[in-house]
Amino acid sequence: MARQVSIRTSVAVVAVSLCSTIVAKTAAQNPPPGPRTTLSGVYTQVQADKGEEIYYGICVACHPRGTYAGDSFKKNWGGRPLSDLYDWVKTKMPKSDPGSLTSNQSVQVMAYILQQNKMPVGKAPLPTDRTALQTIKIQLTK
Amino acid sequence: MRSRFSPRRVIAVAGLTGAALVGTIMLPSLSARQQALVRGNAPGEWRYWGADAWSTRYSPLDQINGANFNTLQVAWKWNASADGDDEYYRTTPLYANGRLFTVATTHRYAYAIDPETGNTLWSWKYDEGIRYQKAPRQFAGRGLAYWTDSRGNERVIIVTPGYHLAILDAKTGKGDPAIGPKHDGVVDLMDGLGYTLVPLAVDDSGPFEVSDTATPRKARLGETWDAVKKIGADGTVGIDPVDGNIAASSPAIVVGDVIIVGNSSIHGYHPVRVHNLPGFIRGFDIHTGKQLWKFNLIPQPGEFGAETWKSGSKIGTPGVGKNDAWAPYSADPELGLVYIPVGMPLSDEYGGHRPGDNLFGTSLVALDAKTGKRVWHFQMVHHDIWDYDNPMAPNLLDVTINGQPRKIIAQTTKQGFVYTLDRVTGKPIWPMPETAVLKSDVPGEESSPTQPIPSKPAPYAQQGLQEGDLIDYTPEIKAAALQLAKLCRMGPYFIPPSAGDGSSQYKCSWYAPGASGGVNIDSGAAVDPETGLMYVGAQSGLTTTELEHDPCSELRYTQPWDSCGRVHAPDPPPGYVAPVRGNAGAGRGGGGGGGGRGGGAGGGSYKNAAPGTSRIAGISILKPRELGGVTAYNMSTGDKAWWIPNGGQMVVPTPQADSPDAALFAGVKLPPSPPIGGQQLAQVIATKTLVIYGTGRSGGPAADDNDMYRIYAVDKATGKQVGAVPIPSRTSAVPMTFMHKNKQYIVYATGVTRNTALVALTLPGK
Repeated sequence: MARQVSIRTSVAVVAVSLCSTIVAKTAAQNPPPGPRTTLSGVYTQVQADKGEEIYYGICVACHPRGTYAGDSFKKNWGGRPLSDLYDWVKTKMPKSDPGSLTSNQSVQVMAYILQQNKMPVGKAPLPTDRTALQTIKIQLTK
Repeated sequence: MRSRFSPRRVIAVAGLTGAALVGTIMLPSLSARQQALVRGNAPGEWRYWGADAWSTRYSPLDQINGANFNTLQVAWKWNASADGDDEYYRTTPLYANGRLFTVATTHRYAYAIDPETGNTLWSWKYDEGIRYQKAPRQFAGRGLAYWTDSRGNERVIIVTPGYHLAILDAKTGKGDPAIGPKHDGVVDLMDGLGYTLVPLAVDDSGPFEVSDTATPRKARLGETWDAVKKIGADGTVGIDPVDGNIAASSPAIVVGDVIIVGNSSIHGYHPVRVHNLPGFIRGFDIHTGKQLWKFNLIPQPGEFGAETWKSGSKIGTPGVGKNDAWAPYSADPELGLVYIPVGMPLSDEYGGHRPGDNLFGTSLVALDAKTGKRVWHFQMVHHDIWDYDNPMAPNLLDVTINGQPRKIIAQTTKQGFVYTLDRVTGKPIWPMPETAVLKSDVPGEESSPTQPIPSKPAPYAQQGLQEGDLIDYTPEIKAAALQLAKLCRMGPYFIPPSAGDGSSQYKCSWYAPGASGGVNIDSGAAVDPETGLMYVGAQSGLTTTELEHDPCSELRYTQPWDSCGRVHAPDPPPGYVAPVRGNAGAGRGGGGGGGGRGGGAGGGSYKNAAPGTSRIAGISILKPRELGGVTAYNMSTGDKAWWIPNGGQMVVPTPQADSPDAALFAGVKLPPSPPIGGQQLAQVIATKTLVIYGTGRSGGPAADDNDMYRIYAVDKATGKQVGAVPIPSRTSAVPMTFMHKNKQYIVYATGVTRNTALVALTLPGK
């Protein structure tokens, strides 16, 4: 079959090219960014709200308020990639039925936990893509 | 020393506007209504947490029925967060003599509400200082209690998070001036237990933690309160936290003129101290607030049952603690008995520090309400190492069995069995033989060689895990499921936990039902005095247990956890280096610090799955069965009458397409399954013709396209669904119903934190 490039694809390519140009110019003006952290606003308020609902619907049975925030969270998860937390939540929680949370529910719970640990809300949602989560480090203080 | 609060701390508020308004909504005279009490309740009212003293959760009302259920409308919504937030709102209100009573917020403030308008009639608030800040059960709780006499006196009774008993005038919300050292109706429940109360202080401004770290401590001489840092001593007194922690989450129950009060304790997941306060049941005089009697749920030396603690039962002895009766209670006013469902001893899944059967742990205890003397007891789980606390008020019923009228009591449990006893004698109605069970191989653990297994009714939740329980849609799927199953210890029920440190044959044990039940806090059963049917709301599932040593706990084993560095936790052993936590492992501690074994990343194959994995490509290895949901039993025969899934819908599971194991399910038509995941605890009540239920805070179908959930009605004889009314958020506690000014209402609690509410449904029109 002959290769066909649709108009939509062409537009996309152009857009990507433009973005690349912009990014290149920006990079030229600023130092390269460090690794992305949870202090950069990696989840949305909608996700945190949904996560709160799940937390009080399911998680609170074993994790009363306050046990997933502050020092204990920092101690166990500080400095680690968000993918570690995702793996934990997705495969090991809830204790009553491990593995029953969907990917979306898992990141919503994570968003709620991040918010409870005073990490800022952002504009883009926390992804369910594990590879993307590997690039975000859990950082609780600057 | 008596409890003393600074003026800052005592801000009892009453208020209000209510008396005149209440006068306009009074029903027939109280004395007339007293004469008509049935099981302690006026017909059409809901005077006890479980409707009546028998905890039937049954109402004879039928204005709302199958023909009109779907026309129910919201009559009003009462904002339960106006004075503060909550955890999830777990309260079932009361209706008595024309008023609705509830508690709300983490402080457990009390309110009276006009049932017609949803307007607040009065409120009562009490500041408990450090006692509140470090309360192990900091939420609104399940509800309150009500008392009245033939002279028109009415009282509302609250047990606060900080463990005070408050006796209020139900008409005004003001504390009974005849009660308490301050004449404010408040009795300090930490007093009268045999401990000297001491001034308390805190070293951190946070709340109580799930373990017994970060507790208050005894204040130093001259220590004051730092209002900026919110640490120090604020004038609050209480039991020295060195002795342990005590709280309450359920209402008292009233039998005659006696208020019966128990307590809850801390969670036993991963305590750091090898002792704690035991459970107590006490009787208080409604008129004076004086303590009448005390019953020790851990029998002290010389008391009946003390010999079931082989290493001793004296308070403070290693291994001694808890046996707290944290669920609501039931009573038979005619027999003068109160029935206490008792929780388990310390700690949840390891009992090596407390050899013996550990009476009255995980037992049902019948006490004489006037004297507190034990009349009988029945222990459901000897030497509990499964966290199988009795989680719910037992249900009382009069039925005919084999031609004989019987007074029965039925205890629903986390472990999925209904234990049915003669409530006069405590003897089983149907055979309940002591049956050999698996022996623990965890170092130091002496598990009970037998447990009583009810022959009837059949369990309503998955029991253990055996080969016949596994999915077998193809030989390959069966082999895969068996491979996973064999990674943890299997058995028919009561599978002892395994140690994850290599000292057990297995690193984990299958756990079904798990600590969440079965039946648990949010669910339980209704019984129908007219038909003799029992309706159990429950969940079913599969999980695992494993034990590890917390290096900063005095206990040899707990659920996997690392308490090191926490406020007031013991120091770690010399040279201890904290491991990297949270990669995998099956401990309930989870995000807080459990686990520690490798593997288990999302999307892996069953072929290299971590022990405890119970799904293949997202499909549970358990065969779907008619378990959980709502099960109806004929309590005259012990036979199952009908079953429905929570929310009325079965779900056909879909294998995860991106799983490396997805090919196993190619071409396989999976059977429908009851909904699983979350807290699938249906919240059931019964009326003249209906069983009405909410799905619980995370159960049943997901929200529809309009973001609405449902409250359901089924024909109580058949289980056939006859109605489903859209509601904006799920029920979070057992609903209730009552008749007010000739209108029947259904009221349920819903919501979390700052969005909690009571919602009233009623039929359209006047």
